[in-house]
Amino acid sequence: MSGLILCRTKEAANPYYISNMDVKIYSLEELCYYIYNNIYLIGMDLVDSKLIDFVRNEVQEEKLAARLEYLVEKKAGLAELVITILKYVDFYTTEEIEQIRGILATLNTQNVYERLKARADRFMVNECYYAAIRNYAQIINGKKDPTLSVVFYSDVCHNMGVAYARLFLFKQAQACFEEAYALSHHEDCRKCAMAAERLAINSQNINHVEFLDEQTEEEYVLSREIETLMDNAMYSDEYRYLDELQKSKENGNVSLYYKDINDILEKWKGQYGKYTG
Amino acid sequence: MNGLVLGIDVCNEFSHVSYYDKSKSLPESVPFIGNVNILENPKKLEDIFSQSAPVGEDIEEIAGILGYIISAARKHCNCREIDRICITTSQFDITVLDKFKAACIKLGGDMEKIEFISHEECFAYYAFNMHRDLWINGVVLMDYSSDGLSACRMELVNVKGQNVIAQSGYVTHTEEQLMNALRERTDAVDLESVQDLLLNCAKEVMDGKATSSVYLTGIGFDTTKLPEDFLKYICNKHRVFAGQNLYVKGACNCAWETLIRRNDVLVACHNRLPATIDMDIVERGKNKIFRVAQAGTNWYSSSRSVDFIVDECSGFTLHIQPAGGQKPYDEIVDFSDFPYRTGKTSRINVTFDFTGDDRCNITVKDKGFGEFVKSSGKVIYRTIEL
Repeated sequence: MSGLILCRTKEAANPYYISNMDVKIYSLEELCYYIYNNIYLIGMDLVDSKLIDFVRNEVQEEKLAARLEYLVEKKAGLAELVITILKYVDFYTTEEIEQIRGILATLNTQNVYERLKARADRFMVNECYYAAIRNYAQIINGKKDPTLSVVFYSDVCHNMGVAYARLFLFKQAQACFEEAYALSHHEDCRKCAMAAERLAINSQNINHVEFLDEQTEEEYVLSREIETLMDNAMYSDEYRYLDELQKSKENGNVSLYYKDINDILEKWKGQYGKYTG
Repeated sequence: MNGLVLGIDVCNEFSHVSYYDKSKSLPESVPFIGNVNILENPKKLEDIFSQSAPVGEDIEEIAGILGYIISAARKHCNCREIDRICITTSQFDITVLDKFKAACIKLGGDMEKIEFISHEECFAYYAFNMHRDLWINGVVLMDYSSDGLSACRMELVNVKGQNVIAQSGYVTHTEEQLMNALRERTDAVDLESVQDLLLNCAKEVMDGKATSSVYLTGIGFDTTKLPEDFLKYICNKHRVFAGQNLYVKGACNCAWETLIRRNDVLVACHNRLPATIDMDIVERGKNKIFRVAQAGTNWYSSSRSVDFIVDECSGFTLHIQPAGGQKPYDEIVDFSDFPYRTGKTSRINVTFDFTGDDRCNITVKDKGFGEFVKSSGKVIYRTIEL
């Protein structure tokens, strides 16, 4: 049903910061929107004392704050906490809230490690790599669950390796990929481990000699494949753009060069902040 | 409700204050120094608000007057707590009222407890709180002050089951002769020289209409000598009262009635909205009506600012229902110029600013949706006439 929905609660002057996603929340409507659209990401850590303080002091909804406090004290489930917030605010319709209840019920029936993986995978999609690593690490460092397959653990290690690689932590990435390969013997994991090793060497700027005699034919093919990928990087849009910038500097457009470089650095800094948030 | 309930009238030259005596259920005047119920303003309002006055000084001056009046009431009643204040002034326009409001804020007043009403509204609250016999056939007010001579008639009528105090006539005279008589007075105004004008003015609002009482107020009627023909006309089959404190007592009655939430009678005079404004909203997926402003509410207190979430729409409809029984009509406010966003990710702020009882300025601002969606910065303006 279309129309205008009256905002009955006030907007906060000081936002509530969700560090996992690097998002600032200014109103209960925004909180509902965040929950609804990140249902796989949220966990019990969503409703902490900081959120309750925000609801009580910034949004000034004492009734909701007291209710959440009570539910946390009684160790209520995530579904109950989420539904309490969504029902308090006139933002989603009853039907929409019921849908969420269904998803939450499914999540509640999932194994805790399956939930953690679903959550971490969602962080990966949202490019929040550090948050993803934290969740994957909880699975790996947790007690081994015999009901879960080897493939499940291999996928976790592999994804964790991808997250490390995206953070330029190639050594850690290599270890993860190797662990994934050891578990599942999946060829992709081995390729990724080799690529991570090569990138780690490059990034450490150390002199490295490859002894061809020691390489198996398979390893040789893989290393050539990686080199081709690396060579092709120079044809990417981003590389070409940087190349053109360098040329424009050489042609005397120094101020433009530094302005664009600054913009790029700011963008990368922003991205990295999100990755590590 | 142990605090003070005050009515304050700040006129051009003088001010009054009254408190609501809960034991007697009526307003009582507060005496100032010398046991008089009237306070001469340190500066005339017209001088305070003159364009030559330095910026901000006017607010200081008003705060000074209000502060003095309130402390006199506190001292007289031996009570510091204030439950409600109703302020009335002879210059009821948005510029002056905003300055009064700023003065109240400067004094640390809680604006939730302070309201502003016009002299006409005060009169309605005063006259219709008197004994039934004094208003059953209608009442007439004649006010002769530095703004000129004005007169109006009010009566209690029933509109579709609702008791309404309706204003059935309003005239104003600012002839030079009237203004000169006021300016040239030494003590009381010589009303003989303006008798014809007074008589004509009275006839304009009273002729052919039953009237229970006539009230005379304003500095021009601050005399015991009323011209004979005029007196004969207004006293014919009517009770006549003259006094300078009916506005302040009316303001006090208004403050009390607001406090006890008495709303069985709708006051529909000048400075009260002539129509109810409603708008369609969606509440938990169902169509509902949101009341923007209620007919019979003071226009100055009707201004409001509300936020909405936009759910797949590009405008809203205001339903205007005139209180006088005229045909209702709709006004559409279109904001299709704002970026269209799905997923309820648009928050808009709608401000309804009344600048009089017949005009409402509507401002719609695109606020975006926090950090999720940036505002476009676009604003839509509309004015509706009531």
